Amino acid sequence: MSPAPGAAVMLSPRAGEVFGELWSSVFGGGPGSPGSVLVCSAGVGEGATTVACGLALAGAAAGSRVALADLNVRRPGVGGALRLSETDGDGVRAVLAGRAEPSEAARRLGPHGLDVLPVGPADGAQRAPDAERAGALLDDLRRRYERVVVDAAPVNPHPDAGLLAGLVDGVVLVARCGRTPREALGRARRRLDAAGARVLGVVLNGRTYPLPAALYDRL
Amino acid sequence: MTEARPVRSRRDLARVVFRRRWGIVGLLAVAVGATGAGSYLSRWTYRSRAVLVACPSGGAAGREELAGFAAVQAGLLKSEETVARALMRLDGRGGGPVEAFLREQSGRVARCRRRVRIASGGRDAGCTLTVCVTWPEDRAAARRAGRDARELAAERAQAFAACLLAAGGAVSDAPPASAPSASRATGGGSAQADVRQALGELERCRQALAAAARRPAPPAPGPPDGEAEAAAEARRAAIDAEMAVKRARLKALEATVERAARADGDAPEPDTAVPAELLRASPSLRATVEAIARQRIELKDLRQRYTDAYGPVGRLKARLADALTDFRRELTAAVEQERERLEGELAGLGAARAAAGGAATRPARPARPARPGGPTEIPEHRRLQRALDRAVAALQRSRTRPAPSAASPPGAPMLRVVDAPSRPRADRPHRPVLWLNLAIAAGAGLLLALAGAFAADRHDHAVRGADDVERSAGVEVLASVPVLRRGAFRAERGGR
Repeated sequence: MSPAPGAAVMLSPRAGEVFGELWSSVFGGGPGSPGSVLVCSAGVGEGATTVACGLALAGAAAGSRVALADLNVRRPGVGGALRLSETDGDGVRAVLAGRAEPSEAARRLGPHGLDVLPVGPADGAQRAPDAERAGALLDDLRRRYERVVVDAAPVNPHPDAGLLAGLVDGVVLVARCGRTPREALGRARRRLDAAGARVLGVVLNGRTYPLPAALYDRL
Repeated sequence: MTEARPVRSRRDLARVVFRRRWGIVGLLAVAVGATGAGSYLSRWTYRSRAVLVACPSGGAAGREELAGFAAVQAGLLKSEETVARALMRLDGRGGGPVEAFLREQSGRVARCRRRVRIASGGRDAGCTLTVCVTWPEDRAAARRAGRDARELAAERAQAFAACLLAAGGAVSDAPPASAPSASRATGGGSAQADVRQALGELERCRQALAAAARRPAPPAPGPPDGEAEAAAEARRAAIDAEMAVKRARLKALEATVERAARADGDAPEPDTAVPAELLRASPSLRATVEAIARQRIELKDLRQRYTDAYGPVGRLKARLADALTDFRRELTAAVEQERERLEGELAGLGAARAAAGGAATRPARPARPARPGGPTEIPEHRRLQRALDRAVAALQRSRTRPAPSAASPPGAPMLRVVDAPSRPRADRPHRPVLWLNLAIAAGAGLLLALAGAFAADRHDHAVRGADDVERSAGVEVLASVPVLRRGAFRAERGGR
């Protein structure tokens, strides 16, 4: 069954350049490169959803068959970022509840054919995804796509990322420059290590360069 | 606990400065603005500056002794009060115009600057004190007086300069290079000469009056009864004047005793000024006064040099208290002696007055005014009366200004005016230098802002770069996503 068509969203040229480099860093490592990656941050509002969407769009633009799954049931953001309606059709919640198949929840995003699984309509209390069903969903996605990018809730306030981290090949931590405390970043790393995750690295989001380029070169 | 972020290179320094540049600029602007506004709104002041030389009364001293003396002086001149006291010494032991002026203007003396340096050699050996008194514009007082505030402040400074000049004796208003030292140093000796002259004149008057009282009345060429009566009246007046002088003297002695009784051993400067004749009359009192002066100087020296060594100071204070007790006892005994002597003289004078009144027990006639060219006693008595008045005035002056060599303790320092106080003018106020204040404020504000920026950076726990990530998370940075002002995603044209 082919995914339902969604909006056509592209990366801006500057974002395409940045996230293309990130795609190469994460997935361009040859045979040992991870097939599925969990993107999460240490705290709330540090830009993990943006990084996950940009990473998936950059992969699709590079010609890979990529699926982006929004498993952040606490604060879903993928649908809003990619202009997809959360209430229009089934989503990850329906798949995790056994009401829908993953292929039914996926929506095709043009122009490069990125398949996105938004969270879907709310179905009551927010709770952590069931590890067994989430594992089944990720296995299914791994079989049908070359690369799978998963957006998850923040590590420190919620246990979701810890549960999901063991189900993927690698974890990308996102930190917002000038906002994320160093202590919080270290704590998130320790929690992921305790969950048996393989932390690939950190993406510094919202990076600023206070020094002018001319002065930076002279110093 | 995460460690503070180290600043390792010039790039790190520049990064901290640029990151907090708006805070630095803001603090700098506040410092410069506040200083500029303060300088613009500050009241103008008027300054009078005088240079004094303080030297040990013993005369020329070695350089080491002068250094110790200068240290004592520097310790003494720490406060406004002691500066005023030092200025009073120019005038004797208080009660002079400088003291009165400073007491009157005490709330308005803004600042005194003391600079102590050692000048050795010649008559000016000692430590130089530069006293700078500043008066601000007192707008409230000027408004009450209906005067211009600048003129009022300048007048006060001018009055201080004139006061200090008058107190300094033979100080000229000439610049220091042309003013001879010998003429400046004569201020202290004039009081002693005044006392000696007044006492001598008083003695001569007393003898002349006694002789006049004993001398029989000369045969009168004119109407004998009227002349004798006038002569008796003149004698009575002269004797009354002398009795008034003696009573005033007694009152002064009692005041001296009261002053000494009020002096506390713990007070910084107990008043031990004693009239010269008492010191001459009582060698033991003089020795006690000298011992007090020596111990006081020693105590001040110790206070300045060894402020933390309380033991010697405490012992010296105890010795000083004992010496003050001895001084009070000796002084009371000397005053009692002097009182008995004066009362005896008063009794004699009372008898003489009675005798003079007995000579006038003739049949009463209406008093007539003395004719010019009459008997010689009347002009003589008038002359004696004038001399007595002069002597009383001199005694009154000398009571409040004893001679340093006679009445002051031998160890007390002497102050001489070297550089005459400058006379400020109303049209030349001391105003703040705006550009200098602004430059200082800019420099200080910049340093403060930089220090604040680096302190804030050391306590900033947020992730700033790859170093922070590697230190806190132990992994490398995969990519840095800059701030994308136009957003990372955009809808494809024609999309749903």
